[in-house]
Order: sequence, then C-alpha cells, then structure tokens
Amino acid sequence: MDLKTNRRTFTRTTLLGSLALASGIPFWAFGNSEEVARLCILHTNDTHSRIDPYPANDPNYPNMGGYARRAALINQIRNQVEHVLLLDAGDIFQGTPYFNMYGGEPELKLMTMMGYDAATVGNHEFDNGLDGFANILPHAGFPFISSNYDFSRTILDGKIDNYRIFHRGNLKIGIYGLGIELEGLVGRNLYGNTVYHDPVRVARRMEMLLKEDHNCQIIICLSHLGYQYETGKVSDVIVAEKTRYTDIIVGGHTHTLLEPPAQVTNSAGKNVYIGQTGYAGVRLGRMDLYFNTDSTEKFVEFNTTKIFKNQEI
Amino acid sequence: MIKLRIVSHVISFCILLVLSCSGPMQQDFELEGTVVLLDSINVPEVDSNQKAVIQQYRKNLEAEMNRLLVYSERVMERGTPEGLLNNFVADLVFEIGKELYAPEDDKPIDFCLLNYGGLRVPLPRGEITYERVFELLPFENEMVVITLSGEKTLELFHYLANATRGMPVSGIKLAIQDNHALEILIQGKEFDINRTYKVLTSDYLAGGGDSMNFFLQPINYELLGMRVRDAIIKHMQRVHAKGEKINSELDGRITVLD
Repeated sequence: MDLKTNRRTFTRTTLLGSLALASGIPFWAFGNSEEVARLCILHTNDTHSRIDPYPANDPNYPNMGGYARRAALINQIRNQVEHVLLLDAGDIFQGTPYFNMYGGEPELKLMTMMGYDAATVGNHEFDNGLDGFANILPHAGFPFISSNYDFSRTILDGKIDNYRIFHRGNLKIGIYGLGIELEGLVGRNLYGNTVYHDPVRVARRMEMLLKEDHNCQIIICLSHLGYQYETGKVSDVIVAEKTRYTDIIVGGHTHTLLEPPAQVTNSAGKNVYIGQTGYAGVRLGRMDLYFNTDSTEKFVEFNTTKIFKNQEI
Repeated sequence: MIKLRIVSHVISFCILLVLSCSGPMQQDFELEGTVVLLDSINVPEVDSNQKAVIQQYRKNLEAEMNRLLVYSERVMERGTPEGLLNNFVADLVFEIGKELYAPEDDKPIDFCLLNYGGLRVPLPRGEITYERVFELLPFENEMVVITLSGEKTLELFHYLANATRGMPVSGIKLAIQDNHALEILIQGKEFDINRTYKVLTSDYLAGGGDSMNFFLQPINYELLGMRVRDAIIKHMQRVHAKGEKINSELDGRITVLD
C-alpha cells in the first residue's frame, strides 16, 4: 500500500464520518469492505502515572519512558500503519505525585490525546475510591471495558463497558475486559459494592457472544489478572487455556515483560498470544497481525530482522 | 512505504504463526510481536503536544517536588528475604511509630511489618527529592498499631515463612527453613504464644491487604495519625538537618536456611 492510497482511504472515511455524525447513524453502519491486510495492536499496562520519563539518576530506567515519548512513537507508527488499535491493560493510576495531586486527570487527558481505543480497570484504578474514579472518568475520551466487575450497584453504573466492538476496514474486533479479585488486594472502603465474577466463566460467555452473535473475526481480552501464578490462581495463561475463541490477551498486573508475546494453546487446540510490557510505560508493546497476504510482502519495516516463512502449527 | 526506523533498531524477537481455520468466522492471521523500549535511541523526539499539556500540570508540582530532602550513601533496592530498602523503611517507620505511640496500657509496640509490594521504586545514591519519596510510597496509607493474640502473631510468622517476597520488618529476627518459621525472636526474646503482641503496620495491610488476613478482627486497632510516607519524609528531614546521609545495611533479620 502506498501513501497515495492511504490518503484516499483517509478522505473517504473522514467524509463518511462526517455524514455519520450529521445523521446520528454510527459510522460503522455504512460498512467498509476494504480488506485489511494488517492490524497493528499497540499496548501498555501498569503505566502507574509515569507521565514524565524516569529521572537521569534512576538505577534501572534513566531518562526512559514518559507519555510524550510514548506518544511520539505511537504517532510514527500511525503514519506507517493504517489500522491501529491502542489498548491499555489497567493500573494507569498511582505511582508518581501527579496522581496524588491531580487524581488521574492528566493521565486520562494525555491518553485521549494519544488516541487510546480502550482500557480495562486495574486494581489501582480504585485507589481514590469509586467516587474518585467516577470524578475523573469524564476526562477519558475512550471506554473502560470490564466484563467481570459488576458496577451496577455503584456510582460507576453505566459508565464502564461490558465489551466493545471495533471496526477496522472489513475487520470486526471484539474486546472484553477482565479484572482481578479485589478482596484482599483493594480496601473494601474503596471498591464498595463492586462485585467480582469468575474471570474464566465470564471470558467464555464474552467470547461466545462476540464470536457467534456479533461475528467478530478477532477477539481480544484486555486483562488485569496477571500473567501467571505459582499458586494456580486465575491468570492470563489460565484464561488462554480455558477459552476457545479468544485470539489475543493484552495483559497487566504482574509487571511481566513478555518479549516476544507468549503462546498458549487454547481448549480448541489453537494458539493464543499473550502480551505484557513490564512496568511504568517504559516500553510499548506491539503485535502486528497480517491477513491473507503474500508472505514476501510482509514485514517491510522489519527488514533488519529475520523474516519468517508461513508455518503450520 | 517509509521505513520505520525506530522499530528496526529494537526488534529483538519476532514470532510468526498461522492459526488454523475452523469454527465460525475464524480469521487466519500471522502475528509478529515485539516490545519497544522507550529510550532516546529508539524514540529521539518527544511529542510536543503532550509536552505542552504535561508542562501545565508539571509547573505546580515542581515547586513542591523538586526540593532536595536528603542525600543517600548508596542505592537501596528492595530484596528477598531482606533488602536494603526493606530494612531502611521498616526501621525508620518503627522508630517514628514508637515515638508517636502513647498507649493507655503503657505497653510499647513490639515490631513493625510492612509489605514488599508497597515499596514501588528503589532509592538512588546521592540526591533524594520529595518526588522520589512520593514515588517510593505513592499510597496515602496511615500508620496503625494492631494488637494481636499469640495465635494470630504465629499466623503472621507463618505468612512470612511462606512469603515469596521479602517483607520489610523491624524488631524481629526470623530464621526460615522449608517455609517453616524455625526461630522467632521479637525484641531479642523468643516468641511466646501465650501473650499478645503489638504490630506497627499500614492501614492497607491491617485491612487484610496482600492477604495479611491475620490482621483482621484484631484485639485492638489504633491509628497513629501519620501517613507512612510522611514518616519517611520526617526521618529524612532529620537526617539532613544533622548534615548526615541516609544509609541501610543487611543484618540477617530474615534468613532462609537450607
């Protein structure tokens, strides 16, 4: 795809977008048969209010990370790849004085500017209580998705999405969200009447809904469960093993660096890919999905690295 | 298509796999995954729009946060079973807690227990600012004194013996073998299950945080009226006022025997 085609597509979608806005009909209702060759999923987790880069004297990450640097990389990737999904797997809040002073407002504003498509609710999103979260939520121009926290008896009722469907060209991408058990991890006074439901059971219900009822081609689980536990506690690996339609898990909580993404075989014998990027937004995760393309045309940007041939699993 | 220079620098691994086709609307794809380190080599420029917004928020913070608090003799990191940072924080919180505590029964606090997960960043050598201490302990947790029965205190030591991460403690000496508390000394004296103990901790842990369920339904719960972070700031201010540097050492307060 060359830049010219890119621009033409952009003009067309913008026009449709304006029409949709004017008529009140959702944009996707017009449909878009454009075949997507590639979808780029960018992801972060446990960014913990790390708005500025780490200071120069930090023992581990001197001058690394920071929102402005992350945004620059995201912009560069958007200039290269047409279809991008930008996701966060929770614990956006808590970790620097920005959160103590502003309660999460700058984090959500800056993520909105970066064009985040969705985030899930991490345990630290409860740190200023349900009221604290509800107060700053209007600054997020993107949805928070959680399928296994029931907020219906709280101030967050109706403000958190159960799932979301995203359209990229002819692709329908379904996203559901999973949060960790709150009892013993978050003060009861903070999470109030939030009810936690078993993540595996919820995941199976959500993927069935998204795949069979909504015909989503790609299903992503946005998870703050944690990658894996020695104790056998429910984790991304367990969700991957016990589901059948979930393609990708964008994870968080355990601050695990998965490089490359982990692969787990699901209950239907297929691969699930799990990504997690460590801690504090020092890294940006990236998964490029290629559809129906000739392998010789792939990985054009990755020409310094190994090019893999198709292989059957 | 323009070459994406930054990514080509940093791709260390790629995976590429084909999903087999079956079931409803299954979409074949090949996946290439990577993680990009956000340093000045991979991303030389920062986004100016973000920078402008951050600057507005930053201005108010800076005046407060960039102030020097104290100098540190060495890098302090958390560790398991003990760590320089664990010992530093637990010791000073215990000291300041004892100073604040004025009990009705005249019985002093026996020991201090905090949690590894609560120490969020290491302390660098050299200059420590207020900001660094906020990063070390961002939580608004209060210091509390919990009175526990002998049985519950033993549960606490079972918890420590089974902990996979080094919990910051002060006032105790513990030897662990095969996840079993082999030797327990509290203030230099052997643990006695027939008496009560007063434990200094945070309200987060006292509420069962980090699964410290032995703190739930205690004999007594007394708030000291000071945040854990403020105790650290207070300690650092005192050290700096004396013209000294903060320091810490490992002393074998928790040991794991083969």
